[in-house]
Amino acid sequence: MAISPVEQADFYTVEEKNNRRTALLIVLYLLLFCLCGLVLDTIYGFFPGIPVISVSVLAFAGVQTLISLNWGGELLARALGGRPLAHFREFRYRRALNVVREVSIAAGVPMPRVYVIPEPFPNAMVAGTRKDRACLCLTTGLILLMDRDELQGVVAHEFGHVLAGDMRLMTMMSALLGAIAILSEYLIRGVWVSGRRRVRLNRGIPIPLIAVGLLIGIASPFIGRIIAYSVSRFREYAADAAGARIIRNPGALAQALEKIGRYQGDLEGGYRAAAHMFFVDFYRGDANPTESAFANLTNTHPPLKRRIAILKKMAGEPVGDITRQRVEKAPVCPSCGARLKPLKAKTAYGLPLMLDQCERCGGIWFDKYELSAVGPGFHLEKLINVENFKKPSPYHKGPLVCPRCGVKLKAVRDPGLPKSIVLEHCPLCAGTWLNLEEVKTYIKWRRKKKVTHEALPEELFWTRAQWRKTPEKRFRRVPAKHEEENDIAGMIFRMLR
Amino acid sequence: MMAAQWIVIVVIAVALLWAVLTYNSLVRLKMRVQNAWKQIDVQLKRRYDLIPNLVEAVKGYMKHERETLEKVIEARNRAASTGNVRDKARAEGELTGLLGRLFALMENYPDLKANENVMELQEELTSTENRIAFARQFYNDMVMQYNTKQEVFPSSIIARMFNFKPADYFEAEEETKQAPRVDLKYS
Repeated sequence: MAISPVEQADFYTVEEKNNRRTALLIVLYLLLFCLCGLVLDTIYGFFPGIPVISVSVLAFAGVQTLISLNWGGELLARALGGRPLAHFREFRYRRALNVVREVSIAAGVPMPRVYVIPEPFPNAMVAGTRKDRACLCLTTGLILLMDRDELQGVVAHEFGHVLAGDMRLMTMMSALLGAIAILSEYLIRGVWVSGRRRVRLNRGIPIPLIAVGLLIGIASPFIGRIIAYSVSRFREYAADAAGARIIRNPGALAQALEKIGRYQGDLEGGYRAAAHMFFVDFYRGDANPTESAFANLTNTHPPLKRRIAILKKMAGEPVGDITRQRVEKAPVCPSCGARLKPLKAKTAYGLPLMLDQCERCGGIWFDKYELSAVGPGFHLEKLINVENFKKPSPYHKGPLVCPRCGVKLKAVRDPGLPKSIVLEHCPLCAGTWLNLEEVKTYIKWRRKKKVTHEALPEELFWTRAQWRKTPEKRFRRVPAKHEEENDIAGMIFRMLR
Repeated sequence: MMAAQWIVIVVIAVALLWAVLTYNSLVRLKMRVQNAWKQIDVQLKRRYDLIPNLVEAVKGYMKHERETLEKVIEARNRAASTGNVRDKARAEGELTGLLGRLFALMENYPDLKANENVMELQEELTSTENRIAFARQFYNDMVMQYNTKQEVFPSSIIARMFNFKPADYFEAEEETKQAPRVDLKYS
């Protein structure tokens, strides 16, 4: 489906437009609620003139909301298996914490509590309903897969929610939704049952009014729900715009969304029920982009494609379709011109990595970051069948050409690498070409070097069960006592459990 | 009393209430602008503290880049010591450029990047650079709000009455406005 044109291009107007729409919908919502309650009160009317039922249901919803307002966020994070990010000492976690602090400065919001949720897929959410007590959750997948800028984008989106007070709004919405459900239940049951049971209708209520009441009772939960969904969708657009404004970099957010859109891995997760609160809803819509009008009506998140399109417009970048595979010229070997075949490799701790190897000479093309990402656990030796390869033939007379961009490669020596390795480096895409001899030398050198900073923390690859049973102490960076004092949410959580 | 008198009283009361609220919100914005300015200083201080550590850590590796390292330290000292706002701003701008250059140079030393200590320092410094930039951006956002409130009718009446002055934007020095020329890796 084609993306309908996006008129607005700057984030201020996008944010404002969505805020206006939201306000309108909230008014609608409250009207619906009042209508429900008043009709019920008119029909039953325990105390004529006083809307007892409406008031009491509203009060119940209010109390419920208040409880979740104060502790909700951190308790939810804990319930999802979250651990405070500050407890992790590994490089990437520290960087993530730094990014959150940066964005909080940009947004002018106090530093939130940050939790890590042990899920392999990249996602984030913000919970807790007060601006000064927000609770930000990042999945391990997010921390692992995003680079610094993209992480900034995702975090900024979440801060967009914080600035707009969306968590409180959605909590109130769901409480109201519950209240409406209760009211409509009474309405339907009351009219149905009143003929035989002792619950009586007030006298003198015209039949048409009863009929209307019944209709409203049946329809209002559905209508309420649809309104709630569309409010949620507008909030996502608004948070995207706000996030772009906070870091002044809509491109980073678009890039993060694209990366998430391409995620093909494990989706099994413990948080299905809370999926609507996250950055991207993997379970609906976003994961299976059915764009029928009905599917959109019942989704809490707008389609990824549209979010990306709007952000790219802001960034002034061309809008492409991420779901369709890019049709590229098949990459050819810079040395021989033969086809490059995909080669499966692994990084340290076993993250899959897709390299490109020449069918003929066995040289390997490493895209940006891939060369340093292949850690000591890089099992290439087994994969390369050395005997089958021939000496590279002179394909181009002149300098080698990048298989991705068609730009001339530059030969450089890296002072940190063995002298015999000459990197053929693409200045445009930052990929690197190594011939077979160099690859072999490189592997040997890597093996000797053991650990590099690119090695990923092993807990990123734990199963959920492994994660849960590992005591928190293992990650502690600061003395436990110091943290325990502030960890009230953890205390409550343990008590509840 | 006549209805007209009541109307007059109500109108005056509303006007007074509005004046008080507007005045308060102007004061609040002014405070926020000041706070935002202080936040920049906090981050700059962090930068002064981190730079010597980083330079010390990389010195052993980057023997050929002694000149750059010395320049970084020099700019840092100048920025940290001068009280003059304009000189300070210039030194800060220079420092930003030099740090960008230093980071780019560090890319050439994979050994250096494998050093955990250096990596961490670099990350901290990168983060600090971002925080400085964001703190300035936030300051300018606040100044925009404050100044807009002073200019927009009707709050402009109150602003003029109590002599509120528009705050100054933070502006990058002309020379730093052009992206710092960084010798890129492999070029």
